[in-house]
Amino acid sequence: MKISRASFLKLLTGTFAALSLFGCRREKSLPKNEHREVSSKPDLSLWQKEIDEARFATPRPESLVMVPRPGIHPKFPDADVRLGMAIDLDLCDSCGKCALACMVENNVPRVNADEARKGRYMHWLELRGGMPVMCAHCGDAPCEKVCPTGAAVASPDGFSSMVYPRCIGTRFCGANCPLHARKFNYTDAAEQGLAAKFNPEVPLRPQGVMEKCSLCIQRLQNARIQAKTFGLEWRGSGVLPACAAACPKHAIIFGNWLDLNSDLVRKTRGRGIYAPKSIAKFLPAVVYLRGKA
Amino acid sequence: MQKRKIPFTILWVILAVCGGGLVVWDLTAFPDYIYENPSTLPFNHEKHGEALGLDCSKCHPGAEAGIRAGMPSKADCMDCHNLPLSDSPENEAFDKALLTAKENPFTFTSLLPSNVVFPHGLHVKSGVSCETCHGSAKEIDAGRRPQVRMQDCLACHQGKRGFPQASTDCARCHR
Ligand code: SF4
Ligand code: SF4
Repeated sequence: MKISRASFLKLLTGTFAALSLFGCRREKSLPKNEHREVSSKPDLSLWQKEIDEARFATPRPESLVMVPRPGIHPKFPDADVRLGMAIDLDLCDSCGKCALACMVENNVPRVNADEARKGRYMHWLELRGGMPVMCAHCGDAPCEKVCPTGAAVASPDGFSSMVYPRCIGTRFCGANCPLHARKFNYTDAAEQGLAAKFNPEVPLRPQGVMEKCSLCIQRLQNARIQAKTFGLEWRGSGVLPACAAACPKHAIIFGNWLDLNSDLVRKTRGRGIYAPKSIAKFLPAVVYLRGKA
Repeated sequence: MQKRKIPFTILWVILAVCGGGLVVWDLTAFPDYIYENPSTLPFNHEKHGEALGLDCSKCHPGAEAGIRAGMPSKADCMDCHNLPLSDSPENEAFDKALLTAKENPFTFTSLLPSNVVFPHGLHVKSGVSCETCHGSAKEIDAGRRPQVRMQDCLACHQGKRGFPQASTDCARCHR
């Protein structure tokens, strides 16, 4: 069959048009749920072992400077809730129960030997020189400013949160966090059998996604939902993050900085309030207590 | 002139066929919103709900005040079905199926992404009915699953669907 040049070109155009239409087809009609199949009854001692290992990777405590008492979140000047924590270093004996509780509560995965050698542990709560360090939930958070997709975003309750499916893994936030509180999923922990679903309330983070201390947002949301279902106003009471609940010395105090009757405000009165030097100027909501003011 | 027009017509026909094919294919190749009941026990929502006037929360614990709505266990069915149904051969077969059913005959995997919390109780409290997202009993029996996307959530939360406005902050629903 003989084809003229013109009709050949037309055919070509038509084929391309058809192919590009084909490319526009809908891939899936609904978001799939991302409940991945991982063990829900893993061997806890493996997690404990990794925490003990990680202590050697971070032998030096953060240097602390005195800061004023945390207050209103700069992005939510009208809110009456600013959740936060104070860690009493006079009580803390660095037992590490908080670190394990955090991993179990938030399905934090272990890392393989390669990553461990580079010190890339996923621990949201690290024991740096024995001092529990997690995201300070800065009011003026440097990490949120550089996130191109808005995955790192401030919660109206005054802490810094993450929307995992929005994260495209640029790692800008991790680079911009002076405290190095952010952890990146370099590998697929679930695939390597290093992840576990201890807590069905918390999603597993896929490879290529940033994560960090969420202030146990699932507990806060559930407490708020429960209060609101009963028609009550919720101002941060009746709930504890996992680390605070696990601390045998009650050294981690959780509460609402704007509620003068909260545990947090009462127990920090007259105490010296400190923050890691690197983030002290970013209005952290998680601070440290030491001695008297 | 007349000569030129014919190939163009062919092109348009090709395009139309492709477009039409695409639509048909799209509708048939992705039936993942059709829910196949994995249970061997037949259940008819219309017969229980609209005919008997049972609330959804009667069998789906938590649907009205909890965060999640659950599925009933066999014991829940037996609360009412301990009395045999009227004797038609169809009902006899059903009674037998119920007797031999396992402890939790109904399972359901939510399509809600695992990083989203949807508090059923709070929504019911602000006047959102079950049908708003789940469809009528008839539609559920036909295998319809709630097709809710984030834009639907947002439209409602922004007050565009006749319900009271609600928070649109990420951290209220995402975790
Ligand atoms: S401590 Fe780091 S991760 Fe946490 S809010 Fe501040 S900058 Fe962001
Ligand atoms: S508040 Fe929750 S997420 Fe943050 S360190 Fe404590 S246990 Fe971990």
